Amino acid sequence: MNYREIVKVNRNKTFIALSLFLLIYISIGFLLDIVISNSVSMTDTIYKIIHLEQIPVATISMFLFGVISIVVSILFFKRIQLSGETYVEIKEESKKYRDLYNILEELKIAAGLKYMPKLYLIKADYMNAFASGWSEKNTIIAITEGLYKKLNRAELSAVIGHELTHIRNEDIKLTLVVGVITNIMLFVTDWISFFIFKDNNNEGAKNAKIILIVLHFVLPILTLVIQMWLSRTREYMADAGAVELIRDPQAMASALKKISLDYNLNDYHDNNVTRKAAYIFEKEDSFLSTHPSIKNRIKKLGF
Amino acid sequence: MVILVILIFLGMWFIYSYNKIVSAKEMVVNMKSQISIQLDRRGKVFDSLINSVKKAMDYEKTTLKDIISLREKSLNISGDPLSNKEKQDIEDQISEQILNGQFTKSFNMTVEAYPELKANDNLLQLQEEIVSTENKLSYAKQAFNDSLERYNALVSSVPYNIIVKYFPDLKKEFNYWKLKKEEVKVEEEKRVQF
Repeated sequence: MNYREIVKVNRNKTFIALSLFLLIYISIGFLLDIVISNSVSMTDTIYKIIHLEQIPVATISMFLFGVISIVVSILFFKRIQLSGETYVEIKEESKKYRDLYNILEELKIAAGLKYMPKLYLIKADYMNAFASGWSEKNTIIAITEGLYKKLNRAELSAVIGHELTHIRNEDIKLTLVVGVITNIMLFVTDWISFFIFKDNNNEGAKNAKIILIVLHFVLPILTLVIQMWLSRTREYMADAGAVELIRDPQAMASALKKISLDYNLNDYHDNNVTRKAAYIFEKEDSFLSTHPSIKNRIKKLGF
Repeated sequence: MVILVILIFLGMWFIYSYNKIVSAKEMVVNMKSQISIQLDRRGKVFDSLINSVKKAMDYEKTTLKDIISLREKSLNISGDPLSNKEKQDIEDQISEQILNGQFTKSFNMTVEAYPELKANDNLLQLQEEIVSTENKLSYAKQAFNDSLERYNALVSSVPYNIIVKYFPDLKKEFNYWKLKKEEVKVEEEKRVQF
């Protein structure tokens, strides 16, 4: 698949994820409305809403909450993703970390990108990197200082190439959307339990409460499924994209090896959850993790 | 009715394919211009970089030379003994040379320390810029060749080659960027020599 086709697929996925998310929100709101108004049946509530006899307060507020949380995360993605660490922006004129800026500029040419992503250096010891953003002009690539210090130029090129491919493939949009959705969804499930214990026991309200209880257990699983659907193949594709740019699979493989070795030797903690799905590397290697294992990734590179 | 639908469908398909070829072709043209942009950049960057590094190196060379010759004089390795006044003068000159350098700390500390030499840093920076500039140029060539490959593959593959046949404007011959045969030979034989 060339990257234009990947972009198409990713755009569709982003759209589907967003719609699904809003749909779930609206349904939860609707169920809450039934419980709050202590309705006799679901159809009764729908009838009342259509005939403007009842204002679906919960539905509307859940919908607004969903839209606002998406808009906010798109507007403030940079702060959300970089929060919790000190960081510096590396600009064209900065003398320090000059090579890092140069590498990004080189790969931008190799990828034929028409815009330059903003480059950030996170002042942290662990080795990791991520790309994020929404529109073309508003993308960032962040790299930790540990990564910068421990990798050589070729390996740094591989890592930045990997991140640049995520940007080119528009993976970042999907990662951003899904990262936010899943986190808020978990937050909402906690809310639901508050309404479950409400003492409204008409037929409709009772049914709605049962569905809410089911949702309370299903939603966390659903978020995991959505994250899985992000699919690990994207990481493979980004690795392959980096190799396509730098034409040096050895550098990509050795960068990955160094990063995983470093994680094995040290016990790093990172509390920023939204960043996790965007990272080049994720330590936990269970069947539910968003990233494939380093071993498999290196194997796919041909080593 | 069915014929009309088929015609509309065919028309839409044609527009889509035609535009696809056009964008692939323009991509090649753009990537080609990138090469000359990077070539131009290389010439300018190298000129100014080498000049500025040379200047800095010259400055440091003369500074060190001056200090050493003054020091020799003051130690009076050869020739007549110096008077106290002359000795004092030379020592003052040495101090002045040293203070003109990068050190601005206390006088006592810098008396016997030579000015910090920056040539090494400059050379490292120069090296980084050279590597990066050459990389940019070769990546531009690589991107051009890749885009040309896509374009060539597109216009020779099945439905598109028919369109190209009827619209010869869409077909343009580009050459892959590569070295000539003789040049390849010369480059192959190159070895690092110190």
